[in-house]
Amino acid sequence: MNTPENNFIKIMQSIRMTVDEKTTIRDRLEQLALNPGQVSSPYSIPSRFSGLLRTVGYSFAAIVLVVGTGFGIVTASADSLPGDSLYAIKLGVENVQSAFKRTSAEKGEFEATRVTKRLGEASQLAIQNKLDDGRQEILSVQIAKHTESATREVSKLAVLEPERAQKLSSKIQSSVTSKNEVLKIVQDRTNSIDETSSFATAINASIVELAILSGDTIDDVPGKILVSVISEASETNENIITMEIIDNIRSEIEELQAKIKNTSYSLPASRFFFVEIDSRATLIQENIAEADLALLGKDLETAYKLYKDAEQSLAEVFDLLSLEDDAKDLIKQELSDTEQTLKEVSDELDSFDDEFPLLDTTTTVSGISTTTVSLDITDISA
Amino acid sequence: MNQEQKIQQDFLTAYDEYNDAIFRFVITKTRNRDLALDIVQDTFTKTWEYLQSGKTIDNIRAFLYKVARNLIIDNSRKKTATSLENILEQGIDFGEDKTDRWVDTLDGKQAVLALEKLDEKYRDVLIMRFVESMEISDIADILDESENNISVRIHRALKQARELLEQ
Repeated sequence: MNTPENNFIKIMQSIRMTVDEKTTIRDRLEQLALNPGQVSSPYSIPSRFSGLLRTVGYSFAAIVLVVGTGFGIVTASADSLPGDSLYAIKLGVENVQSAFKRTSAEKGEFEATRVTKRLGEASQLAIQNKLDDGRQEILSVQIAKHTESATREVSKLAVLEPERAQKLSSKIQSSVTSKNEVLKIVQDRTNSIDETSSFATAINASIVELAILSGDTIDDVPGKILVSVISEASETNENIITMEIIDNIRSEIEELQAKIKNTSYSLPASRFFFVEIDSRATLIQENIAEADLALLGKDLETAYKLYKDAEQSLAEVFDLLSLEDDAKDLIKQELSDTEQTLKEVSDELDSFDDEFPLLDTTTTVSGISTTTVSLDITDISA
Repeated sequence: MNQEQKIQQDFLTAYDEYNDAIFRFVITKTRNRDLALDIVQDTFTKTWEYLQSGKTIDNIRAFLYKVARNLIIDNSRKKTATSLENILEQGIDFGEDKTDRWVDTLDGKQAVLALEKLDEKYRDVLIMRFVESMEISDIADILDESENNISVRIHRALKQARELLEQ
């Protein structure tokens, strides 16, 4: 039959290797079987060779770094801060470590941790009252580099493994946002508001870039960071940005509320799922009500968290509903199969009864009647 | 024929039987022909090495898919991806029978492009079940999931596929 599904199957089945490609691989496998050892690929020799060169190059660099500087110095550099004499070595060691990461996921994660390291260094400098212009500049440049590298790896991963990319971008966000206290410390301990704003803005821009490039919208950037950066400002453009973001969140929640209302009218009257879905819908409404209150009280952080919780709960409700539909269909199929089997058995018993009319099947085979379909398979086989 | 020769013959028979299926599986995930060929060769090489280490394989088809899947994960950085459309342009071997294929090709290509919008995990099970005619138990073994999960996933994949094809 010429349906799209069948045509899809045919076209997929027609994707094959050429005869030459098959023969080439087969010859090499035969060679392997006769002469055990490494089989070189005819298809990607340049990439494998260049990969090997790269690994050798970085190994050499690592050896030079360690031997040239001494193991003790490398260890001592680990605690250095921007402006210290050993800080360049610390960055060099991290560069080598990054180069040795094999996959986009590992490299992206490592670069993200480097961002949090820089934020940690900023925090330490701020506590020591040493976070001057020069040190801020060093940190800003490094954070920008690490961010660019991390987002590049997430973008690469998103093409082939979108789920892993999403997990990595969430991890990047949470590791960076855990350092949001840095911004408060920076604001508290730095005298010039302009300096604070520019540094904090640079960090915030880095976080926003990470969020956007990994596929999230700016609305997904945790409100905590934006609050830390922006809420201290007086009547400036930053306040307008904050309110715009909150308005976006509010309209998103209004859409969710409309969905909940529509969904609750069409909830399946299933004894298995109704109670669960109903209690979750109630929880969502409660979260939204609390979030509204928090927003009224200008507790943006709490409001944002509660709105996001409501969104997450709604997604779970939809998952449950779709499972309900699937379960119904599967059960229908199972019931249909069972009915068919029972009918076949019933027909067999009828013919058995016809053939041996004097035999009382209800007494010789336990649990079986020619008129009912309760069946004990083990007794029949005996 | 001694034991060693038998293993070798069985292995090459498996290659002749499953090389295209493994290639299809790999290329739909890597979207790069050279890398796919690399991985196909590495899959069979590693399988041979496994056999040579004295171990036995009960279900060689499932084993090949599992090895290929792991290699795809390991090699995810190697090459840039391209669209499935380009793959269709590059490497379709229709074999002997070409009658009325241009009509089928057009509809099929549209179906392939439509189904590229499927979630990857749904596309995988659809291809394994309906293109490669694999049993649910084998698919579950390869993807390291329960048979029940695979059944539900196939059901959902079909639903989503039908919606996409009707667009």
